[in-house]
Amino acid sequence: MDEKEVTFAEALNEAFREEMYRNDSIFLMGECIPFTGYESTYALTGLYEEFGSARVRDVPICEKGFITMGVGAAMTGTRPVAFLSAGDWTLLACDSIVNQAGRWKYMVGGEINIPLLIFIRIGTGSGIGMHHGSTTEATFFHQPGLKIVFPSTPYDGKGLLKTALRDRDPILYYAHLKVFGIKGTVPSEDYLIPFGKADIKKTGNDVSIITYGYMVHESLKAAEKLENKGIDAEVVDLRTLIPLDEETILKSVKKNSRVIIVEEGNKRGGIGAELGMIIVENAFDYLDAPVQRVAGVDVPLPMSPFLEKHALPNESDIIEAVEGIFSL
Amino acid sequence: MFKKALSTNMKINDIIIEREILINMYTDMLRIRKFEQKVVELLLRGIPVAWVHEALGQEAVTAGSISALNENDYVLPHLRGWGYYLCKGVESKKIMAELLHKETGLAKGKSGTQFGCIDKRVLGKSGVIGAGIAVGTGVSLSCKLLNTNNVCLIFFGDGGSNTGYCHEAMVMAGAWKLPAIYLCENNQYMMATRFHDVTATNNIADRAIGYGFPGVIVDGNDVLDVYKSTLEAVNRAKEGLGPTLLEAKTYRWSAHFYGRKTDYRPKEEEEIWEKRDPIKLFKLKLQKMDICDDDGFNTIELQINEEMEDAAKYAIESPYPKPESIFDDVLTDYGGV
Repeated sequence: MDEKEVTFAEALNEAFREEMYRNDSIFLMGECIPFTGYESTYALTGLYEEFGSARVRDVPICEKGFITMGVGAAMTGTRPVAFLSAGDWTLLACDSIVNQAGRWKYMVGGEINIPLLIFIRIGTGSGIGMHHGSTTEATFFHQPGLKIVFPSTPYDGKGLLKTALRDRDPILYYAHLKVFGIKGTVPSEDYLIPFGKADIKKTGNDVSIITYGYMVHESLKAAEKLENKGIDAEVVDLRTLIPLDEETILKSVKKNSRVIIVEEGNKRGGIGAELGMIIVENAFDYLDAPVQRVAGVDVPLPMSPFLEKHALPNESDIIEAVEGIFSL
Repeated sequence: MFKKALSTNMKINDIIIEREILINMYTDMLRIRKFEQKVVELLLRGIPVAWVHEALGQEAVTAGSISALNENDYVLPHLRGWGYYLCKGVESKKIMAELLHKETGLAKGKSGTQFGCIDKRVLGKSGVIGAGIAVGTGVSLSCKLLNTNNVCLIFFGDGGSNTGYCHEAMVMAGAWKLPAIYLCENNQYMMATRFHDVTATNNIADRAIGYGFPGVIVDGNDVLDVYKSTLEAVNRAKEGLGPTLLEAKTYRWSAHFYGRKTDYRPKEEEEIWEKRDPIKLFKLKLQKMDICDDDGFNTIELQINEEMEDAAKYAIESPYPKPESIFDDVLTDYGGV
């Protein structure tokens, strides 16, 4: 099988280009997405030149307006992709995403599909503060009628994005800025990755680290260092939060009997809270130590990089947490 | 027995309206009213019925405007009444069944009042005031991108006109010349709040200039004025000239929904508007212009009575959905590919 090395951003760009050639009904809309210096930050380099202004649409600063228009367009024969340049903007469009995109299908008894993809660029950890730097997947994880994708590598990013662009439901696709430049290999030929299948990024037999998105990389770094300390950690990358691969999570936890859940978002009411309870409900008897969470602290994200780093989890927090459950 | 020959059409300004359309509009107005009367009757009989937001007094807006569409044009309804469905050709028994929460209803008994009927291109009512304006604008974007030459007729109220959704959607619809027809049913009250108590503008239509498309004030109790204005807006949209904002001035006779009071407004005001009953006004006009005679009107009424009896019977006799059906239709599937 032919392979090539690309960055995460290049992999996503390929996915958009290939799918837009494959399906004429896909169109993109987002603030400044046609323009140099902006398009690249959404992984859209060159697409405006290739597909024109009807399919790569610039929009006014009307997040809830254009995302809700995406809902209407999606139910009547097109496949809109709406771009948000910060996780925080999802909250501006909260009604559009939760009440409209997530509930319209149910509201009409399943008569329609809403193939609306909302592509969210996440800048957590980049010093851009409380209104640009937040990650919001946990907010939407609570809501019915949506799917949530949060990839960590070029291979996963491309395969999941292509699946998303062929799916029939509203999807939140989170793309982390710190992952954009990460390189990896992708096959030259067409491939898809199904939703709801976690990927074990590193196998290990002592402790399971369950995570997703950029935190996969912090977890892998931590696992490497833990190996030097004689702890063999397994890193489970969820890849999609809805649907959630409970089977892989529970299998890993039952095997290792110790588990750490790592997420970048706020700890309170986060993804880890739900995962922890799933583990407790289904694998309690297998546990040799309490389920532990490593997560963002419950504050608005400070803009200062000096303070921001104290609000977000990193490699050493993960190592500390793992060592903690082994010292119990 | 000698009978006078009936006229075949009516000419208003430059528009000639065929007799068939005129009769259909009258029939639809009466169907809207009699459908609601039947719903209230069932409610009072103690049958569980979803919220009843009556459109009593506003029938001309729905019937007049939808008559100007073709079957492939879309309708984005708003909360008040079921005329959007009835006028677009949705079977009254399917509407009634959904209102009675039955499995045979348009949304399989899940939706109560917010269902759609995609076959007839009626897309569903958002329970969030204003959201439908943006959804409908997206539908018109889809029409434009797919070159279907269809329009989306988007209904909202004076309440919805004040939402951010309305502003954002109209900004984009104007800029992109979308085939959207915004039809504001200004019935002057948002629940209990008088429009003029919370809004400085006299006319919602005046806002259109700010979005770069025409705003037209329409007599919402004159079905012909509604029809004519909507037809002009549809033609404009289909020529690629973009949206129109129509403001139909009207009045709801009833409360916000059945069971609520109307003591926040003067009785005299209600009486003035009840005298302008859109159905009676149109009937008089049809009689005066020899479009329909008494026999004709009687036949229409009897047919509608029968239709509504049948709809009620169908809905009452239909089963409730099975409890496990609550899990259906949340998502298409959970697996992606």
